[in-house]
Amino acid sequence: MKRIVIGAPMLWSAIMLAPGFAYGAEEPATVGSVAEDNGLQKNGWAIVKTPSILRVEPSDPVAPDLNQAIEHYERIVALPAVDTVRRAEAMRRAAYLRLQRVEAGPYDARDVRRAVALYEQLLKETPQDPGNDRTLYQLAHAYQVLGDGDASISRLQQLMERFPQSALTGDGGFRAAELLYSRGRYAEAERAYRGVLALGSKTPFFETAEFKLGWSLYQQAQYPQALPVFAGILDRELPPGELDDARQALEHVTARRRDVVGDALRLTYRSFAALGGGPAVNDHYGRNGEPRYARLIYDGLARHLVEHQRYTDAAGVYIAYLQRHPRSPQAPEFQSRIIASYQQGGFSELMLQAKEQYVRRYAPDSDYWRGPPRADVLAQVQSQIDEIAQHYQAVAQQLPPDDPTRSAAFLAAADRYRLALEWFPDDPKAGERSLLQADCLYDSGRIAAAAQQYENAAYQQRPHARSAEAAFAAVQAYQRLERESAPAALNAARQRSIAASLKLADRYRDHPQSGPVLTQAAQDLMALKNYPQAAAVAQRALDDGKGLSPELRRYDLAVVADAHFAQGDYAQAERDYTALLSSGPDDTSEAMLARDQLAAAIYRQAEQARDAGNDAAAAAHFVRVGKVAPQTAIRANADYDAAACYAALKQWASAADVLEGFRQRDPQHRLIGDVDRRLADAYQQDGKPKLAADAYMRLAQRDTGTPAQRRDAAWSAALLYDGANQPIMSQQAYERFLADASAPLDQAQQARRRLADIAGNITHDPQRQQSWLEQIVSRDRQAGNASSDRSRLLAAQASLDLGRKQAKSARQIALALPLDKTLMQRKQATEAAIARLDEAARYGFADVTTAATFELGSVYRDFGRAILESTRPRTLSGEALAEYELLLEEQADPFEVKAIQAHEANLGRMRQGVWNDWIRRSASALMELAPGRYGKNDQRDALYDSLL
Amino acid sequence: MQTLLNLIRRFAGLTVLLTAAIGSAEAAVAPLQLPPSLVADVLAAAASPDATATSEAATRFYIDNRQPGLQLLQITLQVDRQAPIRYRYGDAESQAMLGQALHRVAVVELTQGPHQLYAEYVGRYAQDRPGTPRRRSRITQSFEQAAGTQAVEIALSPQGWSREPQIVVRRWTPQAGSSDDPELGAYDLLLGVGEPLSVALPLYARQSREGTSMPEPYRLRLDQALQQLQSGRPGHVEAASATLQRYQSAITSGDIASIGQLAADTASGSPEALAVRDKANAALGYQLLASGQPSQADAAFRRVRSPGPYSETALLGLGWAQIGNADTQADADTKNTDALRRALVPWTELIGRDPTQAAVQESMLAVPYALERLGAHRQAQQRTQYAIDQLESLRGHLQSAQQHVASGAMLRWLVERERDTGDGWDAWYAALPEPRWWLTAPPAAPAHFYVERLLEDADFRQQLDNCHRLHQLRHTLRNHSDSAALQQRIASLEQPQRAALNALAQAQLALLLEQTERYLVEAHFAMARLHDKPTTIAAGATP
Repeated sequence: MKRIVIGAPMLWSAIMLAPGFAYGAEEPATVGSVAEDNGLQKNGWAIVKTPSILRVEPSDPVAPDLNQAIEHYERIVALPAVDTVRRAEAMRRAAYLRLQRVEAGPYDARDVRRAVALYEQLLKETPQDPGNDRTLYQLAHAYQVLGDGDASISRLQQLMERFPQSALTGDGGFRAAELLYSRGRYAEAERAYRGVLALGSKTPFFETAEFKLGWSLYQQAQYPQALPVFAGILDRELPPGELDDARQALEHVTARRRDVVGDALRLTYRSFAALGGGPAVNDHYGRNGEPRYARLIYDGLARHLVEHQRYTDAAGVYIAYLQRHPRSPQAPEFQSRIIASYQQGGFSELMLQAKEQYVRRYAPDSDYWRGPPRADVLAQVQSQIDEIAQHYQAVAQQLPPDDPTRSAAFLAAADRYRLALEWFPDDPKAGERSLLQADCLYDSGRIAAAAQQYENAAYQQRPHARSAEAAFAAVQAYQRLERESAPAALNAARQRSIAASLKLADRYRDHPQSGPVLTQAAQDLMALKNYPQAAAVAQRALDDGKGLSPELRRYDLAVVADAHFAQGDYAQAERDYTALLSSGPDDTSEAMLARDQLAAAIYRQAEQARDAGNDAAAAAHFVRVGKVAPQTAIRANADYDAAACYAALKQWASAADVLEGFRQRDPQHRLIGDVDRRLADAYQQDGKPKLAADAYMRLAQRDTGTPAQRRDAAWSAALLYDGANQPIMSQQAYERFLADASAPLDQAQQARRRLADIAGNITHDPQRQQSWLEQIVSRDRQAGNASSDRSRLLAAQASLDLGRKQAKSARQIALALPLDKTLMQRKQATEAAIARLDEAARYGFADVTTAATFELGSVYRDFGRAILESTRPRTLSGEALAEYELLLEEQADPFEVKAIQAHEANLGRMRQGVWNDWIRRSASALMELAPGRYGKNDQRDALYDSLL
Repeated sequence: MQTLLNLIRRFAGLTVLLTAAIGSAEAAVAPLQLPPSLVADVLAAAASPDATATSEAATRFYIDNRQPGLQLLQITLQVDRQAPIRYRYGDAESQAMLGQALHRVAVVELTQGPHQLYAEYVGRYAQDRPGTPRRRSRITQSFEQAAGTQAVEIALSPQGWSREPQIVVRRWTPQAGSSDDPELGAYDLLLGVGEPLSVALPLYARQSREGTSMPEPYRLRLDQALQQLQSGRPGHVEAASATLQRYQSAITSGDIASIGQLAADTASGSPEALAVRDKANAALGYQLLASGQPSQADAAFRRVRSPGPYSETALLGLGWAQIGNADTQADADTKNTDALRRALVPWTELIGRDPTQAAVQESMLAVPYALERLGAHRQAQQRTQYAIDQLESLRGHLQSAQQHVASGAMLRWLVERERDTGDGWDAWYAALPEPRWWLTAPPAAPAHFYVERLLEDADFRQQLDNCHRLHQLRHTLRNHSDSAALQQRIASLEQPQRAALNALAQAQLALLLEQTERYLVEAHFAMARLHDKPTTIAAGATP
């Protein structure tokens, strides 16, 4: 009902104030009227005008603010739980947004903890909510952000248990499994992964879960269970068809899956490796069947083991494969991989065995080959067998020579080579193999077989790089045989050696060792005394041989020379030796030998000449020996013989030259005695007394020869020295002579006499003279009856001389002051002189006696004179002096008397028919002394004086 | 339609609350029956002959309302040059004075001789619209006070042909055996407003003086007072009238047709009938909305009086009905926009109304909902934030209200409050919070703001009356120190009653709090959803 609006305010108020005016049944205001007043029409379809207190202002949507939303949700959670639905939703959203905030911005642990608390509370408050799967999932996520993995895991596990049909189960289960796995709880992780896999292959985690399931099983060391899982992955992912190589196979896998497949393969390897390697693989595949990529597994497993340096295990894998597939076309490769594994691991023994196996199994005549053998395998066989043989050879070479297994090793090597030759006769390496086989045989001690094989290698196989070497080795082998052969078979061995050498020289002219070989052959021929051939071969060596060192060259020359020498062609030999010597150094023993031989050759020629009676030629040859080969031993002989020839030819000078030369060169030669003798002889003959005397002297001084010889030599030398007017030398000679106590007396005395003379006259050595003279006297005296006249004469003379000397010395003692002393001295001296002179006189030789007597008289006279001439004491004067002098005269007078007596005695000897100078001088003296008696001038004196 | 049903489902809990609020009317609290001995003891202890002695000498002034239908609101009386006495009449007093009750406005010592009297009244008729000016009149009169005059009646009686109320002054002297003692009328008024103790005490004293020789009317009044003291005011609680009973049976049976009958019934104009009609219309409207008949719901809601106790509910429902109506129109976009705009019209009316009411709280959320859909996102955010602020502060107020009740302040304030003698309203009316206290920024609620809400509950009123009676009895004895035992007896009876009152208050507050928290949760949720737009998740599960 509409209200009636009356416009006029006055009327309105009038009506209001009019008393009694009643409104009557006015309608109260209703909601409808209010709404109409505000613009809402009753029928509701006209244009509506919203009241002015609220104008609708369209605007942009509010920018969502995460923090605000979280705040409001949290407020709802903080409020008491009046609306469970809203509360649950608010808790859910608050937690979720908090987690989003954590993800978006800086990490705030409080947010995460609060989110966790909210989720937990939500779970507690609404345990039956079907949306709890998402709550559990988010809660697990929050725990994971907090780092509490265990709580996260437990929540995810709850999710899986309570909501197996949820869309999040796959994701949650997978996460739980991953967390468990990362914590090392592999058993639970395995269960979780299985749970994820049970959801079917459509979940996006299927492949990863499968992979991680395999990992979990692997981590639990449940290898037999892990292997099928990986096998499943590999079956699916690897390219189709049979596969050999892991790397190649991986190339064909999509890049995205390559890591997984690689890991699957690796874990398969590791599992098998942990289960025991090859046998485990065989076992597994035996039970579960072999997949199409089995070879890949075997190969990969082996490579894996190799990477981990389990080389024997790697080989074991290949072996296992070969056990299962011995006839597989890949068997040779696998066998060679076995070898490689052992090689890498350094198991040389096993590698060797593996190589042997390879060779045995895949040899051309083995039963592995159905059809024609594969060339590459055969090549491998060849190389293996070579390696085996080389190995045995190397092993053997390193064993000490006295090791009993050494030869066995060499033989083994040789056998391998033999097999190689047998199987691959046309191979270019056959020749070398033959050579190596020969080497092995050689080293194992089968020299003969080795030599044969060497020859085979050298001459029967196709020429190869080492043929010449083989030939040489053959030669060496034969030579060794020769060296080691029993004496009975020696010649045969030599023959063989020679044959081999000649073969080498024939075939391999340019062999670098042809020279030495030929040389050796020549030597052998020499040993066989086949001189012509030896010379020929040696000559050949010299002419054509290669590799002749100067020594060998010389040797060849020597051989040639020796051969000629042996044949008696000494002249040729000499030429050869000369050539030999000129070809090399002179100071080697060979040179010495050569020189010896040369000298010998010349010597022989000299002998021949001598035997032929041609002394001159012989001598010339002999001398040539010295010229040509001056250092040889034979040279002395040659010189001696040359001297002998010269002596025979009476060419004393030449002989002496030669002998001198001999002597000078070799004073110690055993023939030196003869040499000296001859030399002395030659010199004597040649009129060179001094040189002869020298020679004799040497003879005398040499202690070879008998003492008698030496004495004679000394005597001869002394005589010759005397003759050569070499008083010094003769002194020595005489002394030498006298050194021999058994010298004949006469000669000895004579010698002493000479010595005394020399001492007195030449060397002016009075003491020595004295001594000699005294010795003469004493010796003579000692001899007694055995002394000869000569000796006595000499003794007498000696005494005489001694006396003279004594007298002289006495004469020289002047009687000076102090008189007593000098007098005494004079007296002694005089008495000594007188004794001597008396002694001399006693011998009875006219000359001597007379002389002695004369001297005696002189002595007395001198003494008297001396007294008279003595120095008068100074203190004396005048009368005393005159008296003194009288006394002196008195003293002196007897002596004069004695002097006169002496002289008279001398004269007295005239009656005996002795007249010599001494008597004459005595007479003269008497004339002086006793002029009265004897002072007659005799005209005859003047005559004698003039005659004399 | 789908939207509407979804929305209703979303607010399902609240709708239940609303309908429950509309539907419930069973009284669960019975008036407290005091033992007569207790009352007698109290009266014996409290009544003293002195109390009534003073009333003999002075002159009593009475106000008499003889104008039919005029509700006296205020009276002003001035005798000579004394201070004017102003009295405001409460609703119960006005209603009682429409009958035979008189109001003893003053007791003045008057000398004999001429006196000046000034009287003024303010009143209104029952059917006056809220904007109608009040009826006033005044009179200045001199009168001669004679000896023996004990009462002066100032009556409002219709005069003249316009039957306007005029003030007429009459004097009265007591005569023996007369039954027109204005004091009886005053006693009637006191009994009518529920102050039996003021009646019982003098009459009891008189009876103790006069015994059985007390005249009948006085004895009747004493009996009535005793009865009231023992059992409370008759008819104080809204006894379930026939209409209300019919309404309740219709609600519980869910019979839309009978509710519709009640809703359309325009026969009786009594406030109660009108209230029941409003109630029925509101309930009908929601039932029709739930069953998918928005246009009829629209009509039902429009019939609800506004302002009124159910106007907010109806305004809210009218908005939902507008949205529901939209689904039946043609073009999608425009219909939605128009529907939202139409819905905003009644909802806007709810902006700024009492936030403790459920409908207002819901409108706080519904308006931003509509704005959001109209594309006014920023406005929606602002309104949502406003709603949050309001609800949060209200929640705080309600929690402090709970503490207020728990601490016993409510009891002190409600039960023990001294009445302002110049005011006929209940004591606590004087200290009601500012009207629309929630519009201050920030909303500042006085400590007892919730009492208005609590007093809407009949049980609470009954329980309050129980407590009040007991308190009055005890309070009367406060100056009589020898009545300690008696006071203790009363206190022991008072204790459970007060506890029950507190419990009722707490229960109501808890309901209010829960309702507020629900809407608060919704508000926060709406705000959070502005910032958080979750992507659609498979199977509809939110993360």
